[in-house]
Amino acid sequence: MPQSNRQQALESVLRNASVWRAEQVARDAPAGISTTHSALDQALPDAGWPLGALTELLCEQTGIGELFLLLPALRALCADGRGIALIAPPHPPFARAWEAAGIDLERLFVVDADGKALLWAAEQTLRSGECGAVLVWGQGAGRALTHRALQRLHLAAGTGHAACFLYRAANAQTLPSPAPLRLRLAAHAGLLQAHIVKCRGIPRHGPIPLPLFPAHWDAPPVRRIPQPPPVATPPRLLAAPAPAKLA
Amino acid sequence: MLWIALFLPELPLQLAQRGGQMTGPCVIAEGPTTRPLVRCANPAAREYGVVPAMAVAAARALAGTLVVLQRHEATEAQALHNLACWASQFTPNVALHAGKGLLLEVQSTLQLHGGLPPLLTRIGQGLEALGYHAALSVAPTPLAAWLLAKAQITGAPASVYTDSASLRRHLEALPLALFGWSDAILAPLQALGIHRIGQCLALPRAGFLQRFGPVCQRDLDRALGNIPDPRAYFTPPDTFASDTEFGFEVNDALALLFPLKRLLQELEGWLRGRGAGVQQWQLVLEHMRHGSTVLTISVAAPQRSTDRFLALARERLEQTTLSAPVLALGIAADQLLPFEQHNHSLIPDARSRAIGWEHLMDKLGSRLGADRLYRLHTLEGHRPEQTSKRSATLSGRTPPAALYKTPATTPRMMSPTPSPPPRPLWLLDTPRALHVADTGPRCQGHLRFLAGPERIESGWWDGQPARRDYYVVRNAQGETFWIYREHQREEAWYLHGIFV
Repeated sequence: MPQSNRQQALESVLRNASVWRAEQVARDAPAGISTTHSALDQALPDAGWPLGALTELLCEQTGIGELFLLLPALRALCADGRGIALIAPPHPPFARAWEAAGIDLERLFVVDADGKALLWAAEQTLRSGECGAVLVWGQGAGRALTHRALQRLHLAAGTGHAACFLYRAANAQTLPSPAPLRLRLAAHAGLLQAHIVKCRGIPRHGPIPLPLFPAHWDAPPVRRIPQPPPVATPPRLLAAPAPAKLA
Repeated sequence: MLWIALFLPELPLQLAQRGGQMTGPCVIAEGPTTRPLVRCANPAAREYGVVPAMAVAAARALAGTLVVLQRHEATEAQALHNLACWASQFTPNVALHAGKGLLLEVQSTLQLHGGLPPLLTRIGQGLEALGYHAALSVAPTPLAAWLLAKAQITGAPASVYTDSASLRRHLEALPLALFGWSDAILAPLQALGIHRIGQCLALPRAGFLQRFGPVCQRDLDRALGNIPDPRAYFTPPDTFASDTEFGFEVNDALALLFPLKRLLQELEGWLRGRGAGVQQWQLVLEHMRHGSTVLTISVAAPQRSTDRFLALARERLEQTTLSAPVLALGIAADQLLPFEQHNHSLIPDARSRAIGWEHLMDKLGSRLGADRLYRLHTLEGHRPEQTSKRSATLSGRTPPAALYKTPATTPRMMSPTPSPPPRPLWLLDTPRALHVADTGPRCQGHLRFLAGPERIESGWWDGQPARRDYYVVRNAQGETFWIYREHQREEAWYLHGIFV
């Protein structure tokens, strides 16, 4: 088929009113909670973190700000009177820091579980609708974290109208997932970068840089390791003079 | 005054069948071991022609596969006691009658229950749910109510009389034997041809009194309401325990839920009567020759709903593997706590939300164990590891955070710096020692210092002194850590927190 004919055929298909282009997907009233990062909000179909759905966060490393990224949303949900659940976090949460971040500690609870119990706890918490956000660390679930388990989490999030954030290692990106939103998080030059792996509509290409930590951390004055305060060391014993060689 | 009588003629048989229905013929035996008699027989046994008061040997001859259970009077007394506890939800005035049934004075609580017919329906349905069947009757005097209930085993219809005139008419037709007088009194009356209460009442009062004694005349007067009939009311106890025995072995934990529901309904009735709830109760599984298993079920706030308790017990039993077959099931509760009744609201509000929150905590806690579920609260202090504490979510009504929290404004006002010092969201339970190279400490690579030092020096008074300089560092992969150096030692670096 010549090029022009092909173009015409395509045009006629596109003129059909029942055919929609992915980029024309209607952006109705945002159902999400703002991430407070305008670049990310613009890239996400709900203009924020989706409520009532599973969101996968695929982290290349831990400790790059993957939790810090969610804090504004968690704070907003807390202010709404909804709870926050941490299911199987890899380390114990530091109460002071969560309080300083504006999270009401009375609305926060932590569940230590693994395997199927982890997924069960996450599903029950989501389904109850008491928690606005349920953060699940998937490493503890091991083999129980199947496609079917993810589907259950997604449905439970819909039932409870809660946001379910599932942290997984970045190598899970190749596995199929029912989550409508999947982000890969990586650190680059001191900044957290989010890559949209999957979302409704056309995912934006390229990384979205997210400044999370205080700016002065990222451009620190060249600082040497501060020297420890002088420690009183006992004067070094002088080497004993070598005995005179006997001729 | 209006009295409801509950007469339980087949209590021994119903107790034997509460744990589960027996399909085969079964009788309860009583009397001397040399010649036991049938006290009551189930429908399957009656089909074979077994009737009460028959010798057990004769019954065995009629029904080959007959199961004979010995009657336990102590168990029956306990069951009646628990039934009185349960009935105290309908009226505070419950009396045990001769160890065979209950009398409830309901005049004062009729309005609460919306009248007599709804109340009778509720009592009837409640009894059925508990696994009992009782003859119910209503009369203005307790003795008359009792006689009417007793008359029902001879086939009389259920009777409700609220006025004295119709009561008298009906009482006159009843047989005298219902009073339970001794044979020394009944035999001469029968010899005179007097079988019914009405005939007795027609006799000259003075002569009757002289011949048969004041007790008989008093009973007649009390039944008709001519003289007062004071009753000692039952006082519900402060603790509750109920159990049921199975006539067979139970191997499946979930099969225990059906009898458990009956026990929990008794518990709920008792709690309603006391206007209270419980925060924890024990589920006791008795095994053959293997002692017993005790499961404690706790809830966040005082509760009394059977359905809620049953749902939690189900979660627990699903996780439990029975070490040996179960022969009996019991529940026990002490520590009554005030129960707040909440109005259901159409629009979800803070109160209904708090209830949902409690239900979620109960559900997670009962399956995973209360220690796998915790909340955080902060304590005053400077050493980071001592300012962050866990608290159980099922610990009680008052959130511990509320106890320990200090006003948020105070430290901020006193703080000299405008922005609070950085704190990581994860804090390791025990700081991890870092490898130190020539260029400085290393944690999965070379570390770049972003912020610090922040000196924390505290605890010299309690034997755990901490003198540390904290830094925020980042490695080449972009991971950000909170590390510190021990003040006294030059090369002691520790990883304490992670900025995630």
